[in-house]
Amino acid sequence: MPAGPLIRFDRLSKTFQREGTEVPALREVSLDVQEGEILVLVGPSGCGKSTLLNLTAGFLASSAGAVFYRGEPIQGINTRVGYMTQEDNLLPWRRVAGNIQLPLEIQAAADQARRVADYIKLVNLEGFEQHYPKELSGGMRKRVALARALISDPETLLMDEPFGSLDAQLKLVMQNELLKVLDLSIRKTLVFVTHDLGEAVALGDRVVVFTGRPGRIKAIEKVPLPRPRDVFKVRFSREYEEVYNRLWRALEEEVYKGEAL
Amino acid sequence: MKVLARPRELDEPVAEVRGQVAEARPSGISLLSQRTLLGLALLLAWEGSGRFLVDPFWTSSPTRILGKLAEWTANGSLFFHLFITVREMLLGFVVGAVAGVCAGFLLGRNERLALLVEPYLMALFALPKVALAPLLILWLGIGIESKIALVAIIVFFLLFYNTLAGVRDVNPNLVNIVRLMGASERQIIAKIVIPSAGAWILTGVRISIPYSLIGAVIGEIIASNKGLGYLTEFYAGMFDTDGVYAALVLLMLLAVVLNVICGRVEQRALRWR
Ligand SMILES: Nc1ncnc2c1ncn2[C@@H]1O[C@H](COP(=O)(O)OP(=O)(O)OP(=O)(O)O)[C@@H](O)[C@H]1O
Ligand SMILES: [Mg+2]
Repeated sequence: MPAGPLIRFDRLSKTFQREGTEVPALREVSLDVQEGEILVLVGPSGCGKSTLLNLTAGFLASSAGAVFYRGEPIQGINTRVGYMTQEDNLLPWRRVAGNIQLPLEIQAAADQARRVADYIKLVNLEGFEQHYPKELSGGMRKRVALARALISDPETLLMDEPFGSLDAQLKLVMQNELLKVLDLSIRKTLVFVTHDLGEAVALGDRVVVFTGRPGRIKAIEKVPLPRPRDVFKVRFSREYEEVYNRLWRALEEEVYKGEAL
Repeated sequence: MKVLARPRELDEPVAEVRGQVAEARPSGISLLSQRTLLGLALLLAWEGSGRFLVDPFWTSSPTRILGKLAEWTANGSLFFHLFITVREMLLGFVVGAVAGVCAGFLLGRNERLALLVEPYLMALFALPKVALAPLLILWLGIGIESKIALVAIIVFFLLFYNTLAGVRDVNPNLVNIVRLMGASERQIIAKIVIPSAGAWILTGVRISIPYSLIGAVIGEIIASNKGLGYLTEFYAGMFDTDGVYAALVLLMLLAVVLNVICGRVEQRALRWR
């Protein structure tokens, strides 16, 4: 018996009310996310990517349509997903180690100190365990948020531009680490938002291009590269280049449309 | 409104100004020694004016105050009265603070209850609390109980409003994030609401320490037979300005010590800001 999709967006629309006017953010988005898949979302700024993740986490309620998770409509907070939001949302009164430990404390997990140390190493933050978030750079805070999202080991991960403020080299390292973590369990699903097309192709099994606001699905590209992948090497393959070019053409139109407004 | 000011605003400008002073300071004599010199000069001027210009009956003088303090220390009355005032203040503070923080959390987490009782609490808040002193003395007598009650009422409102503001100021994104991790209501309160409101509560504590001293002293001045407020009242009634000044010096020292302790505690607890 074929299993249904893990997440189903069914004619999902979201309109924000702002001082009496309506701001449509998403319109009629229908899409299935399979278990174990890495789905990447790209699109112009303000097209509703973060809104889609917020709806999936249950932070927002839809205006029309619905999000189904394992066949059930999402109502309230969806505790089966881990979410690395666009803002780092760290607890300012906790040090780096304390922030990363938070999910373990809530789950009353075993062996907390050792696991925290492992993840601090994973995101290259050794030596900063006792720093407060305000004492870190933007990229370092992102890495703390990344470690916090990964350590709770959820079945589905939502990530909103997690590597946006990292330098090119560190970004590649982090992408590789992320793929390693995901490949450890074939059933782990990732929905990943980025503005970096190269990153989208290097990580994604499929890449979805959104139109400008209100966001609709403009194109979906399958990335014909096998996993596990090495993000350093895939960049030199022909498939990478072809998918990259098709995505760029789809996105290009939307970007210029946005400028014309 | 000063009481509800965000905790950050109370602190940061001070730190900035200090930084500038430190840079602008000329090299050579340190700020500390300049301050000491200024203080000595003022004391000397006071002492001199008492001897040559003004009758010390009106303004007393540093040596006469010291003499009075030595006399009180020797006969034990200094520590007796000092501890009475400290005791009234601290007991009243603890009772008022615990009640105020609890009430703030209760109403902060229960919007409907807050809407119901808020206008009445506002009306009570607007009342100058020291006006309750005669009533409290009528109810509880002239002993320390009436002063404890007055201090507790003053502190209650200050901490109640700061706690309420703190609980309402909690970042809803942080609450969502820990809820997503599977946190229970109790864990949300322990891990997000309390630490985040903690900064506001500490600010409330800082503000209410001087107010609790005011409450205790006013209570003593109105009707009592012990405490530093009573001493100022008593010696003024005897036309003994040395006694009045000595009691005022003790009050000032007490206030300064409390302020320094509070500032230290706050600085340590709010290092993450
Ligand atoms: N709480 C809100 N109230 C009103 N409008 C909102 C709210 N949140 C988002 N919007 C609007 O919805 C639209 C989509 O926002 P969203 O944050 O999802 O965009 P995005 O695709 O993530 O953009 P970016 O790439 O810049 O992060 C924007 O036009 C924004 O103004
Ligand atoms: Mg966004």
